[in-house]
Amino acid sequence: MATLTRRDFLKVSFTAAGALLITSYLDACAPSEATEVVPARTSTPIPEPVFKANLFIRIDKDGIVTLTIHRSEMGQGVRTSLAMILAEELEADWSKVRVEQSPANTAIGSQTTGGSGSIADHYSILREAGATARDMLILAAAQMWGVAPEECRAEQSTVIHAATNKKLSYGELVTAAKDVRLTKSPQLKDPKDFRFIGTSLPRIDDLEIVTGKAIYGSDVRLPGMLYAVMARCPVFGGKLINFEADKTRSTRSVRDVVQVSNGVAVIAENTWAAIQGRNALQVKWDEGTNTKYSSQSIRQELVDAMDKAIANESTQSLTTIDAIYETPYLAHAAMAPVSCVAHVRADGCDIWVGTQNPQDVQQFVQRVVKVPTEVHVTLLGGGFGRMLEVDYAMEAAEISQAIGVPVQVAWTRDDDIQHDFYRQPTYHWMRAGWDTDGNLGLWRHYIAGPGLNGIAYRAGREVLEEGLVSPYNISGRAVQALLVNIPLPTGPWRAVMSGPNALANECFFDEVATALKKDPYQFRMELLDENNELRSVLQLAAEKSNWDTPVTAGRGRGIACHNYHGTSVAMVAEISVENSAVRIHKVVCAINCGRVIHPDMVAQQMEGSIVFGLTSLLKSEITIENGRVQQSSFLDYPILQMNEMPEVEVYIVPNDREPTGTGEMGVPPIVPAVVNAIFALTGKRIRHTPIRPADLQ
Amino acid sequence: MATYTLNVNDMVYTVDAEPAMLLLWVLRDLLNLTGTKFGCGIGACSICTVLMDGQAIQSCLLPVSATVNHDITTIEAPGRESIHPVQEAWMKESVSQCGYCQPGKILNTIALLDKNPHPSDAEIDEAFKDHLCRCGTYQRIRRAVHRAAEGG
Repeated sequence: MATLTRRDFLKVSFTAAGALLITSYLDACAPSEATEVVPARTSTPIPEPVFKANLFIRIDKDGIVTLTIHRSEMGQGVRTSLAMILAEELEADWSKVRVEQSPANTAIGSQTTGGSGSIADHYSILREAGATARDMLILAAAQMWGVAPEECRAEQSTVIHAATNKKLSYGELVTAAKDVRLTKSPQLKDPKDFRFIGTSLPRIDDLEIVTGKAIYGSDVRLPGMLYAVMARCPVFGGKLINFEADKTRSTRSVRDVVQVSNGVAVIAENTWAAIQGRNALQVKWDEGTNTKYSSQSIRQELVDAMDKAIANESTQSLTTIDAIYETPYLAHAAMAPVSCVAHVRADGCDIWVGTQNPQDVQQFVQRVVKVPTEVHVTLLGGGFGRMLEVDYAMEAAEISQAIGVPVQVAWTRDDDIQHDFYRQPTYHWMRAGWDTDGNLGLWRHYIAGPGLNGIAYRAGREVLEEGLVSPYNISGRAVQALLVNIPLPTGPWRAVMSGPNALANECFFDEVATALKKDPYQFRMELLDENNELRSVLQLAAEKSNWDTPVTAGRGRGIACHNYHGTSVAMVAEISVENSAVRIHKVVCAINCGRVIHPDMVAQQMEGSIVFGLTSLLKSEITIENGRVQQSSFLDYPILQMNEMPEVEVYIVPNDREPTGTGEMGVPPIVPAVVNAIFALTGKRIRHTPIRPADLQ
Repeated sequence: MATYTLNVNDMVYTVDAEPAMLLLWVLRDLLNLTGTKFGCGIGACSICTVLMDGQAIQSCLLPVSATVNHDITTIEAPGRESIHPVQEAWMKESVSQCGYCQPGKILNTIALLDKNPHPSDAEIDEAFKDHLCRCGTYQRIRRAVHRAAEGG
């Protein structure tokens, strides 16, 4: 195949109803199989490579522009910001822009919503798609009027010929656009002319959300649908021996009790009755061999692996300091527990689910039910990585197949806390060394921990290496990731291993700065390369927090930074300690994520990341005893509350490079920023999360 | 099983339910008013908040038998005819991220402002004790409550 530019992967066609449709394939590599996505009646000269589309844009005769969103909306605003990018180049009237959520479709590129990548992955292609459609509509109008297209412009979904004051709306032009041939590549707009990109338009789903009409997974209602809850073995990997369900079956409104691969499902006419039925169920489990695991025993395995790895480490005749940093298992605890509706029939299966990973849901469910499966994606009541897994959809499908009717499987909060795919515990060994002149010549960061061992998501040592390398220009740097296999379920958790690794890197850097009597901000700047974008965010955060002026008496200030998937974030936290408890008064956050699509959503993601990170530092941990999770609710797995919310200020470094993501990027720096602030105030160095009252006594 | 007549959003509903069935599930599963959300089932997160005679209550703790002869208001009511100033304030401050917990917080604000038309930050924090949000929208909720207090 000849070399194709990205634009060549746009395909323009028309639906049977005459709507203009643009589809595209994103990946730069040539795709291999043909997928006919629309009735192709195209007459454009744009080459039509064999392709899979991952982008669908439709302009109907009534002028409505519809973008099919194939990534999941979980609060990060993807449905709004992707539509804004398209509308920008298309010169669309925003009031005529709609979004539709795509079902799982293996023909449309990756639908996985993770790694904060949705904007970065689609910025260019959406602009090109919008510009192509715009130029076709302009050309169609110009041909109708018998004028040169250069004399026409597009504005608010209308093509205008200024000289004659002629106007035609996009809806009126769709039919004529069928016959136009673009002779040159569309010109992308000069960013100085952007009307949408860089502004904070209202969230496209906002009205539905505030009026309670927004549909999340648990809000799906089908005729004849029943509700189920599951009894699962509290010990991971345990098996069902038998169950006694007489009392459950006689519970009013309970309709059935069935055994499925993951335990026993109680099916009822409503969720409450299903929960009552489960309470009455007697289940005998073979808890298996995982009962030997406890937080203590798992930690010991990490310690042993680390001790072995560092046995021959030397100080290289330098002055050295060493430190150990540790983090525990963490649950995602989205406000919406996972939930899924499945309707399995003899000839097919439909799934309605809030998922970050619809294509894997489709694949894994099809393996269970052995019939073609359609996956409909609802809004997510928070994702944070939990909804990348497919367990809850497989379970729902199995239950629906067993009873032959549509069923919603509801997870209670204890189900959610006790049967998560947790952030894995980590154990970090740090060493830094310097010569008699104070020049750093040694830096070690070794991490030990489990990998990811979920159903859809599995990763080995490479996941531990995420964020492991410190950004500072220190000679004699070395890192090592030690994979310790523990058979308790783990999965990606907002910012994945960049959280623990940034804690160790950025706090230990502070320890070194203290030992060398350096200012933590200045020392960072000294050791970052000139072209490192972290410099820009450190500088801005320091400036906005008045770093070089003394902090208010009784308070401490700490700084930290991290680059995750190309976005740099720095934070300065201002704290005090009262009665052995930390109070975070203020967080100044600076972010450099390239071109900003929606500044207020960047701020929202930073605010949210700060709360998410602070919860892991101040509030919660998952502990294991006898192979089971000990926590089961927001009482023993608490999350940050409103009265603990610091004042957050977010500043964006202006940068017109291609955009990078924001969803997870604030989580890694907030924890070390606060830990460093605690040290600055109290002289106490905390090297684990969460903080315990004894740490500050 | 008993038959209950409920006043929800100025409508009269008749439902057959166990007396102990919790209002949350009556609303969601029997009346299909799914704007009221489940979060924890033990009164620890308050996202299931609805109004009973104008007072904010946790619907996951209240049996249906205790709601008879009371007026229940869910998130489906305030925006029914025209958008409520609290909902307006929520949109103007761009409070919502995932949005799942916001219905309970909007209703809690309506109840708060009814009692205290101009709450301080401390009073807002107190009114939102045990109202959890995992997206971390707290700072904007405070701003939206103040904005709503000023008329939306």
